[in-house]
Amino acid sequence: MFSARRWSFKTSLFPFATGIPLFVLAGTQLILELFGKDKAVRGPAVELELSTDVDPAVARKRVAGILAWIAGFILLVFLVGFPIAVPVFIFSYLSLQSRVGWWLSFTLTAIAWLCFYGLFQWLLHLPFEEGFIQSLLGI
Amino acid sequence: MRCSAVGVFIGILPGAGGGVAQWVAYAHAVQSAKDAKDRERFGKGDVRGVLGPGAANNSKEGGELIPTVAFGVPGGGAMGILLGGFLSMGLTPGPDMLTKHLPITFSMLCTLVSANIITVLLCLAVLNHLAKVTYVRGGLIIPFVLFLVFVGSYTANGQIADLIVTFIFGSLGYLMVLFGWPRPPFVLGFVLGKLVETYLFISVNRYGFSWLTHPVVIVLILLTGLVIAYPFIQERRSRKRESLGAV
Repeated sequence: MFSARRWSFKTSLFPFATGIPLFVLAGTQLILELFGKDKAVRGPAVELELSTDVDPAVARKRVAGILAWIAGFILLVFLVGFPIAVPVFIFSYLSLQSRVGWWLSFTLTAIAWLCFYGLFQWLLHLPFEEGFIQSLLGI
Repeated sequence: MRCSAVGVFIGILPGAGGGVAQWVAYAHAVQSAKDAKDRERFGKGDVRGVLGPGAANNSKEGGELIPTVAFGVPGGGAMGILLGGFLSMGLTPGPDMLTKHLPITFSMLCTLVSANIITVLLCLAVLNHLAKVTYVRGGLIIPFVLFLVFVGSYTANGQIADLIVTFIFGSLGYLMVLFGWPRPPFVLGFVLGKLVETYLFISVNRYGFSWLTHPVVIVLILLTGLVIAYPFIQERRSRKRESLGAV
């Protein structure tokens, strides 16, 4: 809002239209937090809540684990593209993380790959970018 | 029923989409809870938190048809494709769709109604079996969900950068849940911000600030005020009821 003072009317219209109410509401909230009588009275959460029956250290470890898997999947997609990354990721996750038997991992991976190929490539003809390795090798 | 009406109304708004309809319907379902104790059940498996957004998500399709057919302004991505189909078939959206081509408009209406009826019948028939999916171990479902989520985000623009955006915003969503920050206002602000800026600019450019005195705008402002005030009124009523009960 401070910067928008120098802008033209049209440019500063939206920053002011959202900034002024936000500033007033945030100020009111701050005053209520600092001087409000019923600080302890809080409304209940109206959306998803994390479960509290798991040890926080275990929960943190699980979150870090799944974030690493997701980052790995994205990296795999970048390197080899979706058609290869999807079966490799699903098979690796099922066999290494979920500790599912080799045969079940293989069967579920095959089903997932069939769904991926059948739905997204064969039926919908969605174009998937080739991976960095393929483009590097010119495959 | 009320959440369905919310869905239809949001469907009429161009560009708002299913995400907005679902969050607004969810907020309405929460707001409709009898008291604070009843409200606490949301987010912990209360079926109303699923029924409301589900109803809005289905009904918004009907709402999206209105601007698509009448004005040629698609309400969402699916309607954009439908609009492309219209144009390729030589149909121009507008008054003609409600006069000369009325049978086509009615056929779309009938298709939509039939699709919903078929969905309900199918769900009634296989719901018990579908519900068993919830008993499948998380470790088996996670890789499939992740693959669908990331394929979905990739297909939006066909860029791998979208996967990183999904990852960042997914992590942000987790942190928001962890620290108890409400996500619906963030999502709504993100989705509606561009629309609000565009239409505010158009309104001010065309009418100055006199657009604030138009009857429809006044009614909408009053309704917004009522929606904001409703939880406070509800809480006051509940307190009054409790104090009367204690006496």
